[in-house]
Amino acid sequence: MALLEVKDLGVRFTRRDAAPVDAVQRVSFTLEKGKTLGIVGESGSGKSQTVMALLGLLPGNGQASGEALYAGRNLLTLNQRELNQIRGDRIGMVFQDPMTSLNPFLTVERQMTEALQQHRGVSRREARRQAIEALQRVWIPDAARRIDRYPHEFSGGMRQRVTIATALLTEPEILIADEPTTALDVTVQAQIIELLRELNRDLGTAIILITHDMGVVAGLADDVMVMYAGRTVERASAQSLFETPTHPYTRGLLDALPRLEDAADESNGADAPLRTIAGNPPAPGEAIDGCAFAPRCACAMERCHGTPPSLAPIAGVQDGWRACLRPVEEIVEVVR
Amino acid sequence: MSETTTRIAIGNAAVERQPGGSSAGAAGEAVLSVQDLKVHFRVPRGGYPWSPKATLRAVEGVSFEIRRGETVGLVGESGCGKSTLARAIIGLTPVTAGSVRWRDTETVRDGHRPAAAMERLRKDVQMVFQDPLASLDPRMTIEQIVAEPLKVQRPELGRDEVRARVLTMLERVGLGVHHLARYAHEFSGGQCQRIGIARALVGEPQLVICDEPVSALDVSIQAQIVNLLRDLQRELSLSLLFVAHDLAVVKAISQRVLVMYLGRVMELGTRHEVYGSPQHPYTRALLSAVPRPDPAVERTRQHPVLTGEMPSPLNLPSGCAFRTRCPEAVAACAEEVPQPVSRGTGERRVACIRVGVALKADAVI
Repeated sequence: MALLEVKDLGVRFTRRDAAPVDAVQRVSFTLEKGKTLGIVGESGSGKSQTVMALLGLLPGNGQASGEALYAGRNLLTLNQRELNQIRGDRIGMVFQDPMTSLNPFLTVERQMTEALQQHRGVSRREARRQAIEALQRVWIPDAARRIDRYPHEFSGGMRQRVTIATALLTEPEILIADEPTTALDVTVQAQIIELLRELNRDLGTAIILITHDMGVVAGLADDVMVMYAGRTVERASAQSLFETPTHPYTRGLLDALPRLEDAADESNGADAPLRTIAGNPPAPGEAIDGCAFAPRCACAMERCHGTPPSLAPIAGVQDGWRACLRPVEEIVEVVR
Repeated sequence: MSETTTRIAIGNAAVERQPGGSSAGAAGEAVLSVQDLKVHFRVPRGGYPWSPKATLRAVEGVSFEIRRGETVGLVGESGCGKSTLARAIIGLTPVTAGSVRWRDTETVRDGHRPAAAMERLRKDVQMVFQDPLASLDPRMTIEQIVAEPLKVQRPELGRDEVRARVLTMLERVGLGVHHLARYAHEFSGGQCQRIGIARALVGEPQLVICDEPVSALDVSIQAQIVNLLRDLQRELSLSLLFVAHDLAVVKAISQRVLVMYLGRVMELGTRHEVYGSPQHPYTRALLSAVPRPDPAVERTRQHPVLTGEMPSPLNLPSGCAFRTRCPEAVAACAEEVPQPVSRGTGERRVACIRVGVALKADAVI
């Protein structure tokens, strides 16, 4: 059963002296209970705005359209009071920079117990007990003492674990993690990935993971949605997307990644350059006829510059979708 | 300096180039050599500026060299001192002890910088910074930004000559004449980094220090910049010191790699040595923590490798700095600071007393 069903989500920002910007257009996905969905894209692709719209956190000039069904209700039409009953309770959030999502003036205890007192009406004492337990679950040593400290007294990785523990206090059904490891070192990132994996497995929390890092997605996500210039370009299971990417952009992204296991070890000089995607992504608000990726696409045809492709099922791939006018077989030939 | 130099023209400018380019790297002569460099900061121990001071050992006795036409990758977690080391070499941070030699000039001697030597250094060594937009003056046009190093270092050049060189350089990094009069905010992150590279290279330096030059960029742009740096390096026979935390990027560009932890060198060797058969437990941990973009690999791999946090550089552990998190640590590790010395064949240096004892060839990656 689908936990969250998003249909034709759009996000439009109005500007005072210019035409409005469509940051997200026609994005649809479903999140199943206990599954992890990875949303991948470069900066400006609309991946963060997609979840901000779901949470009602768009800035004042942003307007969401479409539908986002959660427990029979459309999140996009709820008022702030109704949203507050869901946010931080049924849907938890973890953001990129733990230092800015924690209040520097409050002890960790105050920030953690707030959610429980607000949503569960438990006593401060009980809330504190649960908060300490949650900190222990995310491997904070000496949690009973550390809980009375301020955020600046924690390291970056520990702060992120505090925000994850806070989000999990109310045992949400969905955890939205927006670039949760981007500000962290690789060794700490590995710890956070492992932690998220464990929570997903043990508590059955469904996760929407937003990241630009294909490696992080590969380790965590069951399904992956790739976004470019506000639209979904490909959506499939992680397995099939990494094995046979069918959209030229997904292919380009995977090819452009420098890899540790590249065979370049033998020589110490003249090895092949990295594959790149030429050009730059379109600026926000730039008028695009046709496929937004066409100007950078090695597979682009005449037609691509005129008609925007719509998301269509990929033949032979269960629950696989792609938005590209060129057939899959031709893309494999051109790009490889 | 070399008798057999060919000259390739960059517009009207000409740059010395050694035949063979970077392939001569392994056997090339050292242009920069750093000896036992230490950078310490006095910082308040408590939360207030007037609290008693303690010594933060950001760089604690680092020695290495960079050869002509070679790229040395400098990796480590945040707080390991890699940026401080880079900044100390170029003179942006005072040094506490040790020496730095740039070709035949000693630019740091026993922690002091002779002024005349710094003049020389500034001409020959340039830097590319992490944040592409923040490192460009918002009130200068692109032409002014790229021309500034020439105006300072080559005052004898005429206006037309400066403009010609700026334009040639901009074209070389993929920008054009129509960009000259624009301002930095009109460019994307990748384009700003191209401008930063043009600014660093326009004065024909011989060593360019790149401090996390691609970590603020998107993947597709990152690959473009890495390729650009690689091409320029080969063409101009530049030496590069490439500071980054992304191990895969460092692998793509470096000939030799230096791994730092808490201000000290843990392992130093060719890319082949460090990535192919890492010897130091820290290098191994670091490499195995990198997530692979392949679900099949990621799901079956052992997780995570390192527990715990990096100790504070205000209060280093005795002996090996890594021993508090090291899976191989024994009592002897606490007794003496292990020096990065050659252990076995090749030019690899490893600062670990356990190499060859406990670490059998159980390839971690």
